[in-house]
Amino acid sequence: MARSVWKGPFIDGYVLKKAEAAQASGRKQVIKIWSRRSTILPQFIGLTFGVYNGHKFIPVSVSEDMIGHKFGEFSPTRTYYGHTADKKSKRG
Amino acid sequence: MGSDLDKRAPDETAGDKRASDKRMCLGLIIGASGVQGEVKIKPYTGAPEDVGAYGPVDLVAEAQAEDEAREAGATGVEIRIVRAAKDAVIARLEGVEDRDAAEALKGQELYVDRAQLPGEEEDEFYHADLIGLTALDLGGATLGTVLAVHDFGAGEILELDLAAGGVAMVPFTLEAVPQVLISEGHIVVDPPEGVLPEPKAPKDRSGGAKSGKRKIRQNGAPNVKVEDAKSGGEDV
Repeated sequence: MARSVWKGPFIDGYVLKKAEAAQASGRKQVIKIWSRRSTILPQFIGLTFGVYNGHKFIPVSVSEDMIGHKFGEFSPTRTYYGHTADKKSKRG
Repeated sequence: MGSDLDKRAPDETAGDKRASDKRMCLGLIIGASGVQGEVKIKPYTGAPEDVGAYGPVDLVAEAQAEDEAREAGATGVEIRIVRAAKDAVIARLEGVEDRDAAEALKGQELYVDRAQLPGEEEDEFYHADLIGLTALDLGGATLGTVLAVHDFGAGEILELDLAAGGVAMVPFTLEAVPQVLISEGHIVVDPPEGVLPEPKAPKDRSGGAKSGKRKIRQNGAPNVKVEDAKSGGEDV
């Protein structure tokens, strides 16, 4: 069952505090968080979080498309290296 | 900061010497299909049908080292994709005319030279070119090597195997990775704060907490004496 709308999105309090502090400081940093269950809010756009996957902190650069999703969705707990054959990456 | 790095060669893209030395594994033959010599291939390419898109392939036994195969003079075999199958593609290989010949190829991997792949766009890199590069910091000191390139849906990430031990995940952005010099075999990394693991402080073994616990245990000793006294009392 979906979460009741009247409650608003769930977010752990410390994530919000850390994000506000990072925005206020204006420094280029990765905000380390362990809360994979927290919802990504619009005020996080442009910030980079390091979301813990039980092993390491995966950098998650928040963009507009990610609002409403949970941080944990972008930090998989199982990594498959696979084959790289002809895969390409573009520098963001 | 990084003035000596600025004098180095500009970013290299396709066709540089180091990259062309590499060979790419495009897929693995997992069996025969039908009786007319078609083979079933497990593709390792982004799009399954691209297994046949880069020209003739070299067949190398799975267990055989790639370099050994090159020294042995592996020759290119023409490949034509016939159709797609579940988790595989069906293809015809030059010189394979019946099922027995197709079955004999089971376990062979399909390789092409890096130079056979098409060129990249600006600021685009093949994962195979990035993996294994040395990561330097802005001062030119070695941080580690590139272990893998990931994309979990929130931007490309380089996984670095750190020289100091452990791994670090660095966003593959212009700010965090200002220079990619494939020809020179390194990238320059300017990691944001919090990306590199902080050095662990040595444990303070002269702390008071443990001695406090010991005191509690010592304090427990009189209880034993009390029990002794009680037992002594019972005896009386």
